[in-house]
Amino acid sequence: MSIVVENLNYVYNPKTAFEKHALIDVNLTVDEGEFLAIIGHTGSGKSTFVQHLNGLIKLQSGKIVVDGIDLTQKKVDYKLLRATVGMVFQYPEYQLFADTVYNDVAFGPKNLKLSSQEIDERVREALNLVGLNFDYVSQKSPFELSGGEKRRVAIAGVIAMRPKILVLDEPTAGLDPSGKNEILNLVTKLRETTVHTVVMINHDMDEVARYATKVAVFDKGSVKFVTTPQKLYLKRDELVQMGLDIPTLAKLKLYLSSKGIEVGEDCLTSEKMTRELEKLAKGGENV
Amino acid sequence: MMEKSVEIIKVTDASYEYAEISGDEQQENKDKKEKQPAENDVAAKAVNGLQNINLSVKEGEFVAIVGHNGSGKSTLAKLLNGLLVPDEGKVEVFGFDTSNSKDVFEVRKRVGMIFQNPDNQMIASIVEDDVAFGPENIGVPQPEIVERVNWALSAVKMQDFAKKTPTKMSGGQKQRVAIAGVLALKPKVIVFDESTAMLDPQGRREVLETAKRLNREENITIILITHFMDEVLDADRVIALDGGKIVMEGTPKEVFADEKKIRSIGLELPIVCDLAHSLFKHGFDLDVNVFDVEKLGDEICQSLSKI
Amino acid sequence: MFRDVAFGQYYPAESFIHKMDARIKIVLSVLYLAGIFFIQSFFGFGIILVLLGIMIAASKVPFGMVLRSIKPILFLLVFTMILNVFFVSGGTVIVEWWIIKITSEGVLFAVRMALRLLFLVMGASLLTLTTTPVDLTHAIEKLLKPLNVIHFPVHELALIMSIALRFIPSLMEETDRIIRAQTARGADFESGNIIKRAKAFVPILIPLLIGAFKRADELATAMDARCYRGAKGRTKMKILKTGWRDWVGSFVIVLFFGVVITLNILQPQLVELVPWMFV
Repeated sequence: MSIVVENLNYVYNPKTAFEKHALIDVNLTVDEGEFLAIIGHTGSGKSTFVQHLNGLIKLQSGKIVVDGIDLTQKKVDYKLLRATVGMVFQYPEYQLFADTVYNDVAFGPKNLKLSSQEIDERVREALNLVGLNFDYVSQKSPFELSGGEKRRVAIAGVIAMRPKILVLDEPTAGLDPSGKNEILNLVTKLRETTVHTVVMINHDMDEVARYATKVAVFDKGSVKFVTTPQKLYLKRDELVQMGLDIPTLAKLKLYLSSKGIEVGEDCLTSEKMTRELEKLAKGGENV
Repeated sequence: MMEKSVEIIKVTDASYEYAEISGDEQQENKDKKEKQPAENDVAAKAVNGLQNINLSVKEGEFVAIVGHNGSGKSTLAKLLNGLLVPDEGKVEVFGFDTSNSKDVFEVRKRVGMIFQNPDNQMIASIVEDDVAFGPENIGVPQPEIVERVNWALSAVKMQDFAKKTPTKMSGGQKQRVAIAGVLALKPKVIVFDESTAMLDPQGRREVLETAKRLNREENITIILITHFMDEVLDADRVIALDGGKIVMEGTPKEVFADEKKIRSIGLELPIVCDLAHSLFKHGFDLDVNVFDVEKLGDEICQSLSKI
Repeated sequence: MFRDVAFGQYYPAESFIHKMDARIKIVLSVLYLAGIFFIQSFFGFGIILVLLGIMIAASKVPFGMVLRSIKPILFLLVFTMILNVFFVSGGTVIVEWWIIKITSEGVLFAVRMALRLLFLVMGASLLTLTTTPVDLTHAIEKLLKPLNVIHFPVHELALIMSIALRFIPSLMEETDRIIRAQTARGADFESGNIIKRAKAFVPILIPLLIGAFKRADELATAMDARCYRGAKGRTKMKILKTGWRDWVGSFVIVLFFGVVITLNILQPQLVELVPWMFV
């Protein structure tokens, strides 16, 4: 088990006029290798939740165990925790600060007090993983790069910590279609190489449908349900009530079903839906 | 419709180049580019400028402008209300030449603009004060400012927020306040410069619905700049930019029919359209120009029944 | 982290004080601040406490909000109190040890100064809590208008102030976010010596600065797009009007300070009559 969260509660400004229950009895487990998408509105508690995972927000009540690190313990090794859980914030390019891309990416490893040889290795590896040419980019100022490249440098800065768990808060926000694809493909690639488990906050149901293996829906501070993208269509009414939606092709599946055509659940990308419909067409021919 | 025949914006052979890089640096960049392997996108960085743009917008139209980041679409937006003036060519708005600095406020009064970041276009800390900023600038008499502010806030359905501070509002609400701030200037045209890019789906819906309603009910011409393809489906006309040039122009159906070209300029088809193309390629006999789920569903039913 | 800073933030409500003319509020605040320094006796402080209580009640701002405005100056408050206790001497000696001498006069002086500072900050924050930044800057612009004669940029100053007030919460939020992001990359702001700690803030300050310039640039573009062209030919939606509330408000303030000053003048006689009032 990569992440175990039990009965997590969190209150902002407790015992004041501004008291706000941000998280209410959150229970969630994420297995190693999983890609969890978290969806919910602004203020649903998603951000508060993910910031618990690397101790940016201190545990008030409940239990969290991340990769064997128990956050209920009196003495938590936060350095180890932050090296284990990499956190990519929204618009991460706005946190770049160093004079060169190299130094920015090296910031995390330096904080881990690694040897300069090890740091160098990790910077090279991280830039390579995010698809930037080390020789060309490493001595440039990060502020000379384009928006999408800056974001990749910022992600490299987190990857260089070699986290086992990567948490991303809306990593595709503000990017154009190809920028979005680049980032999502990058996350997929990372999951196959250095990172074991991915947790991603995302609003776009079609993106979620394409990449996630598990979906948790947050509403008003609690987890409404956890399911797979393929089974989201079963929760359409609940989601619509929350002002959310189901993936476009899940809508199509439901519509076809109302016309008496049943396609399988694994139909959330154009390719997969085409395959499903081809199966039906061929089945029809056989009959 | 009659009113759609009146040409209100005319861009003729307009070119624009950002002059941030000095000659030496440009040369240096060129040298670097030549040394770089072709796959390196850092070298292939777009310049955001514009080349020989010709464009005409008619009153009451809903025009969508699409293109990848750096294709020049925001530059084009800024040309339309005189925030930028073309290096070559001409931009005329309601007969005013935007390069004529004397008329620039006449242009801006008529062409309002909503930007990307909802936080960075609000001047005042209270909603109604912010909406009043525009009319105050052009010297509208006080009683009329109050009228305009009330009207503008109800036009975007934010009248209950008049006395509130924007800090605790959602992104969609903030953008609606920004729209009210522009409406209070009584514009004929509103340009949305990627105004939905930073919003969640609900906020995007709010802004888009507001834009469509203003177009329908107030006959305000809308120019919507976006890279969300599903936002342009209801537009009268879609213009695609790439490398500072107009590369496609037509109704959404016409533009999305050319799947290859759309992808080659770094854009994507809306998912429904994408599936239709995919099915068509796999031998399904259906119309690929569909944008909504139910239409496609019907097409699929028909196609399956033919087998 | 920075979210609980109340100072400079407007608290929306429909109250007597909210509805007063911002110009009068500013003038009265200045009067109030000056008046506080006239107070000598604790009885006088008692009277001002009553006044402050009335003002807070009339403003409908929760007491906690006003109290929170003290938070940022708490350190200054304690610091000056300690200094005064140790360095002001007179009256009877309470403690004397080595070179330290604490006298009754020193303690009283320290307490008085602390009270003045408290009343000062609470009064001033009541002004910003009940007046929208636009009204406030508008009023300052009006009050400073005579300075236009000597080409003082009154309108620009007022605009700068209102934009600053508008962006304080945004910048706080951004600072908070950047700190979290760098903490997530293992940054440590708490250990090491002063130089090391100061250096640790570079990864916060640079993004913050770059972000602020970006904001400024975007805001300037947005202002251009909305036809901003300086003070010339500009009108205002809100007309500052003085009404009965302003007269009542002024009367109350003047009355209270009249009492305080009378007390000061009559002090010698009153001390003999009711000595407990004048410690």
